[in-house]
This record gives sequence, structure tokens and C-alpha cells, in this order.
Amino acid sequence: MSFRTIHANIPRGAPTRFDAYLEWLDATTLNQMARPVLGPETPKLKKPDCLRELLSALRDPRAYDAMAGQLDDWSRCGLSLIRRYGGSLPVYELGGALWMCAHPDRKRADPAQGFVGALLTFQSRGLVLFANPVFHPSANTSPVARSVAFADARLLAAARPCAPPPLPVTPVSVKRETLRATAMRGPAEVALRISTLVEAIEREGGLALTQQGRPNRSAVNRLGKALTGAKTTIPRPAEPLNDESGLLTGLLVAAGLLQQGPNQASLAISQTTRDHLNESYEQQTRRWAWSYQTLTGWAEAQPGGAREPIQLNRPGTLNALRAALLVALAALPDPTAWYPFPEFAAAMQNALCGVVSLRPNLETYDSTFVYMARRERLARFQRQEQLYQASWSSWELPWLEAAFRGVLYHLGLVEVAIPATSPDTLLFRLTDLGRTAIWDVWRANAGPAEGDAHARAATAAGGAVPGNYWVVQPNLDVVVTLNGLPSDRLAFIGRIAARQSAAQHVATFRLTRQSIYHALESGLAFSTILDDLTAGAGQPLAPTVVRTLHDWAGYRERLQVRQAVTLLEFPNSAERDETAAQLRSAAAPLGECFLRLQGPAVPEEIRPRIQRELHYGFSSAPCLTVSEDGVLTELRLPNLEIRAHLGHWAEPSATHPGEWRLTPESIRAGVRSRGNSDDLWHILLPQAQDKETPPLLVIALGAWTASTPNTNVSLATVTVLHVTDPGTLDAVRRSPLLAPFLAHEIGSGTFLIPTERVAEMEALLRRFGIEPQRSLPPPKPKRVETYQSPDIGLGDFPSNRHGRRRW
Amino acid sequence: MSDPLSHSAHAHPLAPGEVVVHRNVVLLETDDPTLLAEIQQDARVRSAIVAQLSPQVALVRREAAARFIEILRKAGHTPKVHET
Repeated sequence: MSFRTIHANIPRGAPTRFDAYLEWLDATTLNQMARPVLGPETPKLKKPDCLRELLSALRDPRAYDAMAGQLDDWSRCGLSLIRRYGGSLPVYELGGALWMCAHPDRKRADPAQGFVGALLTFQSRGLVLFANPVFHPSANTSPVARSVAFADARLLAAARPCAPPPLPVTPVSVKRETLRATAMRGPAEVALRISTLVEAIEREGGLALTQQGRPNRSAVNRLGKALTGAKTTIPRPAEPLNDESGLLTGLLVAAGLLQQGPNQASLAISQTTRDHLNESYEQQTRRWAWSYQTLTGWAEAQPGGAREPIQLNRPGTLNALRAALLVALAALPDPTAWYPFPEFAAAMQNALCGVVSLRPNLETYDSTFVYMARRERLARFQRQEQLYQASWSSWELPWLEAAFRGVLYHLGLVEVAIPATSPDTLLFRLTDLGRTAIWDVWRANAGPAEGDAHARAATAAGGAVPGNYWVVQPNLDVVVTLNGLPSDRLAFIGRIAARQSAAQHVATFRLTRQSIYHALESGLAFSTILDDLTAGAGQPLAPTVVRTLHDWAGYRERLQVRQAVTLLEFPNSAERDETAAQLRSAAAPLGECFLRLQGPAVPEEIRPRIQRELHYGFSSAPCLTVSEDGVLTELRLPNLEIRAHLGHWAEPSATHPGEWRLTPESIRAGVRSRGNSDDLWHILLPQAQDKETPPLLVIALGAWTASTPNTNVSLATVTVLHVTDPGTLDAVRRSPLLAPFLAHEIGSGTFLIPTERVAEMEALLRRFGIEPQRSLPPPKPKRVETYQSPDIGLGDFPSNRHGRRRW
Repeated sequence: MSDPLSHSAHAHPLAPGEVVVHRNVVLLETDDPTLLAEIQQDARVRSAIVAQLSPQVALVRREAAARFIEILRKAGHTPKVHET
């Protein structure tokens, strides 16, 4: 069986049925899938019959119950995983997780197929199909990287959940006083860093993208300053992340909370991000854990000697390893116990070795496997397994340790420690948050989380629940106690105040004019800010604080930018005022004869009077003609922007309304008032009907805008000697006496004579009997060839530019 | 010299009873004319402000609106931005 993908885009989280995709499968795959449903006689059926009978059988819901009833634990475990991710999962992640779930009996997955063996086994059991949005004509070489595995929603509903089998690791009994060093991040600490990043992106107006569509490196580094603005010490044995802003940005993108903005050139905070930050810490952490699994590139550490992997920007081995790591944590026998990291790593090595490797020359998936005989594949697999074993300690093991000391710690999923008795051994255990987000989700439904309870209480109370979450000081600093702080309160304070510093239990924020402004711009009402800030403090705010907040909100009201306004223009102020009185509050008078409407819709009573509609922001039809002498003539009534630019750059005609003239004075006045001539070149002149501005006018405008004359042209009075007779011309050319007078021959028989030597030369010519005339002979008329073609139509033949016919 | 923004200074002016609708216009409004004058003096935003419709209202070039808002903010102003 080969890795075969269906050309389809399976949206994440959408319930999917197999029916529509079965006909894409080849006969062998279809037969294998049908066997659990149709029974052992299936191989005798031809593909059309097999397809028909399978579709017919799948219409009966009991078929899924029957299928689900036959599933072993490994299959149920895999389906549980797919269900958790909404019905579909990238194949690398599913593959890594399935190998980890198969650890008690690795033969269940087909080792001869290498990494895809587990996936193909699932496909042959009719549990999953693989889809790729990009069409690949050769199914055998379908790339695994971008493919997604999906399961039928009815089978997912019928299958009983199953947790991964316990990992063979032994808990160690540890007393806290026997630990030399421990490091753990509290839920609020983790959420605080993410909300700080979100607010920083929001304040920056988005995150710029490169032309390849990746976050701009310098923009990500700038965000990093927001995180490191307040120094946070990382206790040993945890380690600081090399690129925390890059990691958190990647998590936001993977979680769909940072999406491509309308201009496609940047990433913007999505509408759901605020809701997500208000979710309980447990819900947030579940999302981060999944997002971590889907990250591309070295988020943990790059093992020594590793090149930039080709999977830096596409899914690959790292995703398989991360998925396996999360499954391994979910497979810990006791979720509250401490475990030695080396033993855990060895258990992972046993489960994965031979199928997943970070070492560049050991590809996880080799598409050429399918062309080999089974025995050959198995032999190759065994050879590779030996190589994997040899490379584990220098590749996967350091990566895994870095994951524990780095990402898993920073996401608050594990607590790491060093025992006093054995300083070289790293111990770890799941935090409460990690247990809920990683271990519990495979088992019983998690109970209501703290944040949910707070949100429900807030809804019931009709607003924020009072509590002593922070102290608002008269100098506008807000000291927040992180222990027990509900996630929605943390999101609120992060939205209205700028973070100053953060320690394990306390964070300091500052209310600033800019932070309050951004909170208001993000949609928070001023009354909500004031009420929730007061409620979180558990006591009234100081009067100076309230007054300052009022002032800042007032500043925002003083200056308003209205986008997408609809204006009505009237012939005179009397008509405008009359209509304003009719429309009352639906319109506001503006200037001499404008009305600003409150919304985009034009009132019904105005519509019959509309003479013209002008849309801004779209390229409009040209409304001017431009003549070479700088006269601009309007073809129709221009929009307000063009009218304004006509006023800036041209002088109106006193006699002809709608006619304007570009003059040196008007252009210089325009440059003075506008600062430069960009508007002239890029806005006004492109309004010309003839797209090309007359070249001589371009020269003139260039000179007028530069305020310096064009000195590339010379105009002077010269004297020429013109000789028509060939004999005389030959004599003049060869004469040594005349040579000093002939500056340059500019045409046949025509010489330039230095003006100061004309009299001297005239005398010399007379001496030799030549009497020069005072005027030049008229030019000879050009000879025009004509050809009369009486009969044979030669006149129809094309002629070249000299009038000669081409044959 | 007549006001170039007024339709009467142009070809095909409006006849009595006629109305022109301008859609998708960007306006900068303030309650303080001196604040508007101060902003117009700023070379960074001058090119975006096309004309003044009244002492408190200026017309902003549609294509430059996003950049205009960004520059206003960087200059320390806190404009209330209405999307529609």
C-alpha cells in the first residue's frame, strides 16, 4: 500500500464524511478499507462494486457502531486524537503521535513502511483518508508534508475514547526540600506574556510580512523588546528562549489568532483574539499546546551541526517529534508525579527510534520505499534504525531536553527541577495547567475552569466581579497580584495598561494616555474601563486617577478621523440648509454647501436630485485634458481631491469656467504650499485623458518645480559659408589659406565661420575673385516620387518611409 | 479668486435642485481650529491633507488615510478613528 492523497481541502474542525472521497482511492486501498465493513469477501469485488456496496453499507449508522466495536486500543487512541483536533490533523503530527501510541507493540504499525507505516495501517483499516489541497498527478509520490489526515465524523462519534498506553517510566518520590532548584511558570505569567505580545502587535498596527509571506524579522525583534522591556529572570534549571517573540508569534499564527490583514502585507490580530484571551488559562493552554505541535522551524534548540532544515517553513519531522512528545506526556502513569528526564527520553527513543530523526541525512519519510520489495524495505529500515540509535544522543536527546527546559517550561506545561543529591539529573512533572491541557484531555472531561467560573459570575452580576486583584496607585501604576488572577481580568489589565515589570507573583502595569487610547480604539467603552478598573481594585479609584482618565478620553474626542464618509454637495448654502433641516440629526452641515451624512445610505427624498456620484479610493475616469501650453480643461465636474489640486497647482481662467492654466508662478506656489511636487505628478497630471503629458510641458514643469532653468539647449547667432559649385567647394576645402577660417563643416558645402573673422575672410575670398552673396539660396524642393499604376494595381503595394515601394 | 472646492469654479456646475454625492471620503475633524492648523503645519502629514472644508474639517486623501492615522499617532495625537 502506498501513501495516496485525495485532492481536497479539508477545513480544520469541519465534520467530514468519507462518502464523497472513496471513489478517489485505488482498488487495493478501497478493498482494504471496505473489509471491516463488508466482511472477508471484499477482495473478490471489483472496484465499482466494492464502492457501491461500501457506500450502501455506510448509509446505515449501525455500520459505524460495528466498525467502532472492532477497533483495538491503538485505533481508538488515534481516533481520539483526531477527534480532539476537530476531525483532521496534519499527517506528520498524526504519524508521530501514532508511533508513540503504538509503543507497547510496535509491530501494529508497519515498520517496513518507515514513518508512514502507522499512517498506512490506519488507512488500510478504513480509519483515515489523506487529503492535499494541491493536486499531484502521481499518487505514489504525493508529498506528505502538506497532507492532512481526516476521519469520518460518524466513526469518530461512534468510537469510544481511549488514552495512550502508559509509558514505561517510573515516578520518583521527591520532597521539595530535597530539590536544589525548581522552575515553574504560573498560568497568569504565561498568559501575561502572550497578552503583552498581542497588545504590542495591536499598537504597532499589525506585524509586517516579507514578500515570501513570513513575519518580518525586524518587526518580530521589535515585539521582543515589548517582552523584554520588563526583565524577567529565568530560574535554573529552565533556560531562556533564544527567540521568545518568534515563538509566541508562531503560536498566535498557528492558533489562527494572528491572521493576514486586508492588505495581505501584514498579520493582524483577529476578531477572536480578545475572546481567546478572556478564556480560562486551561483553555488557552490547550490551544498553545496544539499550536506548539504545528510550529515549523527550531523552536526549542538547534542541535550542534544542524543546518537550517528544509522543513523550516513546512511541516516535517519536528512536528512529528512534538506530537509524539505531547502524547508521551499524556501517557505518564501518574500525572502528578516527578519523573527523571533520562528515563522519559529513553522511553521515547524506544518508541520512535527508526522512524523519526532530526539528523538531516536520515529522512523520516522516503517516498522510494514504495518501489522496494517488502524484504528490502525491512532490511533498509533495520539499517536505518541502527543509524537512528547512533544519532539519538547527539540530535534528538539535546532537542528533547531543550524542549523541557525551554518551550514546555515557558508555556507553563512542566515544572523542572534538579535534585540536590544528583545535580546532573533533570527531573520534571506536569504542572496543574499542563495536566489539564495535556493529560486530562485524553481522559475524563475537565471540570469547569477558574476563568469560566469567573466569566459566568460576571455575566450573572451584569459586569465585572469585584475583587482585590490589583492596586491602582495615584501615580497611575497598577500593581497586579498574579496568583488567583482570573484570565479575563489579566486580559483586561493588559489591554488598558502598559506592562512595566513582572515577577513570579506580581506584575506592574502603568496607565498611560497611549494605553488608554489603544484600549478605547480596540472597542472598550470608557465606562467599562473605569468600572472594571474600580471593581478589580476592590475600592474606589483616587480622584486624580479618575480625572486623568477622563482627560485622556477627552483628548481622543478632540480629534476624529472619519473614514468612508458620505457627503452631499448642494448648489448653494440655502438649499443645503433647507435639506439639513429636513434630515435633522441624520446629517451635519459642513462648509458652504456640504452635508455629512451619518451613514452611507443617501435618504430617499434626496435620490431623485442626484446629478452625479463620485467614489473616492477607486481609480476614476480621467476628467481633464492637458495641452502643451499648460491649459487644463475639465471634461466633467472633478471630485473634491482633484478640485483641491487644481487650486494648488493651476490658475483658473477668468473667462472660461472649468479651464485652468499651469504657469511658473502657480507651480512655484504649489510647491511652496504642498512641500514638493509629488501631487502634481502623481495625482493631478494622471487625470489627463491622454495618459502622456505633452513632453514639452513635462520639460517646463520640471524646470518650474525645480526653480532652475533648463540649460541643456543653446541658441546663438552664427555665420555660415555655403558653396554650391562642386569645383569651388573642392578648392575651398583644399585651400591652406582658407582652412583657419573654416571652423566646422556642418553639411555638404556649408561651413561655420567664426563671427570675428568674417570680414577678414570676405576680403580673402574677394582677392581670389569670389564674391560671396549675402543670403543663402532657397532649399531645393524634395523630390517626390509618384507612380501611376493604371491597370495592375501596383499603387496598392506598401511603400517604405522614403516613398519607395517594397517588393 | 473663487474657492476651487466650490462646484461653481468648475465646468458643469450644479444647477438648482441638483445634488452630487461624494462617497468614501476621509475627513479629519476637530473641535479646535488651532489644532487643525497645527497639524497642517506638520510636514509629515501635509501631503495627506488635501484641503480644508471648514475651519474644523479637512479633507484627507483616501489612499493616504492609513498612513496619515499612523503618523498622527506617532506624533503623539490620539485620534478617534471611525471606520465607517
